[in-house]
Amino acid sequence: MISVSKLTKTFNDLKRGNVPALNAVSFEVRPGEVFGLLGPNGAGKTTCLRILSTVLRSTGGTAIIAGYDVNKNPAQVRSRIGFMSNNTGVYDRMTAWEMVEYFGQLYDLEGEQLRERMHAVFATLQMNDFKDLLCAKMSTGMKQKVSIARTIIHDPPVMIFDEPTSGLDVLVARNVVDAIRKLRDAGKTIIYSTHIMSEVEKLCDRVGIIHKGSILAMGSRTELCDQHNEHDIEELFFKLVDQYDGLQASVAV
Amino acid sequence: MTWKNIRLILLREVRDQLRDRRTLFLVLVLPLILYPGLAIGMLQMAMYLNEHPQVAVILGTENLPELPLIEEGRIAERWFYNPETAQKLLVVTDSSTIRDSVDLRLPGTSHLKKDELLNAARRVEQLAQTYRQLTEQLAPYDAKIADEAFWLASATNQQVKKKDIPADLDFNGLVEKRHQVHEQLVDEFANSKLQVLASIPAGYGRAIAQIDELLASKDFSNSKLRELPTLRPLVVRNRASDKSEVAYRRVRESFDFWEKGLLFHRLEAANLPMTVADPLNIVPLDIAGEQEVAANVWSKVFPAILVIMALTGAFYPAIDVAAGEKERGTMETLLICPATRSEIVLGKFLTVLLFSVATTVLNLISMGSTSRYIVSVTQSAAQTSFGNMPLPTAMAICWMVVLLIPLAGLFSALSFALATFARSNKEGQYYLTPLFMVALGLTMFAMSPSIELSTTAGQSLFYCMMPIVGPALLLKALLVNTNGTGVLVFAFPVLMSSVGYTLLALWWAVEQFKSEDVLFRESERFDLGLWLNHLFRDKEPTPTTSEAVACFIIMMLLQFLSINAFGQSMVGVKPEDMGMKVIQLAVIQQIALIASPAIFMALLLTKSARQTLKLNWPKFSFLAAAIALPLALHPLANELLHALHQFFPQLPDAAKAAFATMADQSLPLAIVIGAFALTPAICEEVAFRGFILSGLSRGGRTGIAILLSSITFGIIHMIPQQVFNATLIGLVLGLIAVRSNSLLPGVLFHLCFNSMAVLHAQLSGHLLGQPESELGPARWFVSVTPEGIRYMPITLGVCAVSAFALIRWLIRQPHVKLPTSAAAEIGAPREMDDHQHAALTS
Repeated sequence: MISVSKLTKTFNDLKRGNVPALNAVSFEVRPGEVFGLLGPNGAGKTTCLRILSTVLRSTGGTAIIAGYDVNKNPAQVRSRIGFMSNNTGVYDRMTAWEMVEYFGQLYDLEGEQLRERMHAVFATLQMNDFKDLLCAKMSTGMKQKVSIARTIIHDPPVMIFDEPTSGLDVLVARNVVDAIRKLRDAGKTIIYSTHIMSEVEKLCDRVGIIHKGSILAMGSRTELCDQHNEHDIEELFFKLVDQYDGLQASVAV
Repeated sequence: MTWKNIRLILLREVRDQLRDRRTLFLVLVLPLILYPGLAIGMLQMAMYLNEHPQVAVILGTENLPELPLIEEGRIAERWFYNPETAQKLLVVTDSSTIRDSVDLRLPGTSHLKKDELLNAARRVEQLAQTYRQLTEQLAPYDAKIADEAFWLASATNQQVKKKDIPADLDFNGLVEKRHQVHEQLVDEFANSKLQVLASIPAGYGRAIAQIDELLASKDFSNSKLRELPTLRPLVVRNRASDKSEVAYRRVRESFDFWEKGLLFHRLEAANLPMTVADPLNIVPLDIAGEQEVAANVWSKVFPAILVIMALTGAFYPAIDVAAGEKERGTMETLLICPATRSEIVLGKFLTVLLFSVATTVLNLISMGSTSRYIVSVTQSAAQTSFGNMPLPTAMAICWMVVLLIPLAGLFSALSFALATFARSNKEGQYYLTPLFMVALGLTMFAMSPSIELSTTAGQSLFYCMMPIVGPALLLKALLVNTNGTGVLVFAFPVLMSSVGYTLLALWWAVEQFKSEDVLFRESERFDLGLWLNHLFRDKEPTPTTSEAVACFIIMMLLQFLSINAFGQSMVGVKPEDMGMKVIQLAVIQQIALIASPAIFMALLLTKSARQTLKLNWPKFSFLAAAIALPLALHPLANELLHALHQFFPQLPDAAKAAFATMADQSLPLAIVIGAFALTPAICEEVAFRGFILSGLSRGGRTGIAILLSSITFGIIHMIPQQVFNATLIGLVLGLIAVRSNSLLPGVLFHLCFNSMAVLHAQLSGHLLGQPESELGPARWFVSVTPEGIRYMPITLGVCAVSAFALIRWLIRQPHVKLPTSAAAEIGAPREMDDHQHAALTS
């Protein structure tokens, strides 16, 4: 469902010149699977996911999502994914209902179909008691629910979550993780990026460890632990990062 | 692009804006309260000045003539246009017989003691007399004092004669004394609590009576009349104080009527008709109807309001829908929905446009009805010259709406593009303020009385084409000329150019919105050193679009700065050396101001100056086309300019000098060709088809790049005729450069084209005055007129056909794929991949 091959992105920065943010990243995600993208801040997770959501254009390589190339058919890709990150805020001057309805319409849902879908989503996410509240007056948890509702309103086959739990308290974070697990069980193809190890262990079927724009290791949790002879995913992560940084340093010298 | 998405975005944005209190206030509330508020304030001020009585002191009342000026303690009601005015002037006199009107009725005057007031008035009078004497004494020696003395001189029309300062006169001392007296006078006047002081000189009434008698006796044989002393009452006021000025105007009004009364008595006594005193006796007849007077006022007000409010209405919503969306973190939410970027831009643009139009319309309605109301209110109190102030006709209102749309469109697109670039509301305001300044400047230009559209004024077409100025001028003309005769011909160019500018601005907005750098701009600390570093370090083979724009701006600035220097160097040149001087300056200008910036920038800022300046060897066929095309285009361009002659303003002197030099046969032809054909061919091609076109075509849109480069090429020529010509020729030159991917055919074309112009000028001068038979068979193709050689229709037909064929051939040539920015960017990371790969494997 998602097939990423040699995705590369270079930014131009005033201070450092051309900075590679993504370095030939490749991976695949199948339906009914949560693929975890694990990496520290600035590893290139957001850049990668922004390219998959066609907000940014890659400077090299490509990605096929639900059968469409992100560079060639961005509009087709966008209508088949749900994307949520901590950069996708909600409109302050709209109510929860209006906001979700608006995006439903943009995703080509209309009339009865849209209304049914909205009732279903609002019921599942337990949003009915604040559906007419302006988003500006909502708590963080409510806003997050609106975001999730916005992400899944068009029932997309592919979903991308970019650190959806960052900045949330434990209760809300748990709700978000539960919601994503339900989506996986419904057969969706899901990418989940985070820097929190425990979420990876709970949620992800396979993990890619990303650091400084490159994928250092990839596989299911057990595969990774066996390969690198390390039973704890956190330790595994530090080991790989140290290895990579050490190699870079030695090349630089 | 679908209308459904645009409509969805538009509706959401409108609802969002309507829920924003700031926007609502600015768009709906402010216009409704602003004008009534302003009007009330102004009315209050006018009322205060009108209704509040002012104090006038009259000294020397015993010297007044018989005809009574003062009755019942006031200036008599009959000496005013409106009898009520008499009540608004409190008169205090030094007479014991006249009852004063200051009877402590008014709170402001209750503490006024008559003696104090009179003493103060006497001190003022003393100082004023001294000041007047000193001024009269010094006037002949100082031009500035003479100006002030004009009204003080003993007889009204006596001119002050300029004299040399006599040795025994302490001129500086007296000037100093005059200055001191003046200061004292101002102080004393301000502290005296009187607003105007009239002093009647001793013997004034008797002198008037004497003249009356002399006239009545009709005894003009002796010169008694001329021997009588000229006595003039002195009236002191302070023009810098509103109250004093109002009081003065009232006193002056009554004095003028009173003077008429005196005159009437005098003539009656002498048994002479009134017309003796008024030999001219004109009958003023004003044919302006109410509608015309009102239209004239509206034409000065509405266009300015239209421009300013259209911009204000676009300004804040634009910042909110673009920068505000980024600031609130919802931009990415919108970008990941299936709507394309163009749909998003259009939806938001239409929102801004809607608010801009709504703001303007509300402002116009509010302003129109307020001023109408105010006029009707003030009219009941006093007569005004505005009449009933009818609102503009339905036709004029329709035009306002028609012209508002492109104007609001331009502002909306520009504001939106600028606001997209900004990261936050605050930053948006910084970027948009300059736009406001420029719009204000252009509006003021359009509102100046000497600038107007008319079919007889050549420059009108240029005003039409100017953004903002065009619509403002057309509206001004349509409001005055209610049925629109004579100006409607300008509607088409104004609307077309406005729509053109709007589309250009909208295109820029879409480009802004598609740029990742703009949408995801991180806030970095700007550091000049870092930026320069980046500029020289991260060079690319060809310049970026912004570098191309910068190059053009540098050229324009240099051009602007050099105007003065070039003008200076022309001063004092002998006529016979003029030609050589013009040639020198033309060459220096080309090399220093046009070629140098482009060459330096190409060397410093790009990796490949060769690729930037297209220093490649072209196919031979392009060189052949570059020689053939000018031959066909020169006659066409020449005749086109002649046909459009009346639309262009007069040539400035500098341009006339240049054309004269081109036609000057005393100079060696090689030098003239070198200066006016070869040098521009090389320099301008390097700059416009080299650096600027390379930079502009980076986006991959060659068509727009050619268009923009030819517009810049036109603008640099400054003179309207040349701007027009060069822009058209620039299109062909750009096409040749892009198709051949070489600078050489362009240089050749430019050389041939300009050489044709030089030869045309020289031959025109040579052939003029010779018999037509001299032309031989050529007379089938050309004719010689005082304006130069003109081409016959048959020549033009041949030229048009061949030019069409050649340009068609050029367009059909395969497009040489220039390495665009995308390709360059993809190239860069690949190199890096290899490095990294090598690093990791080693």
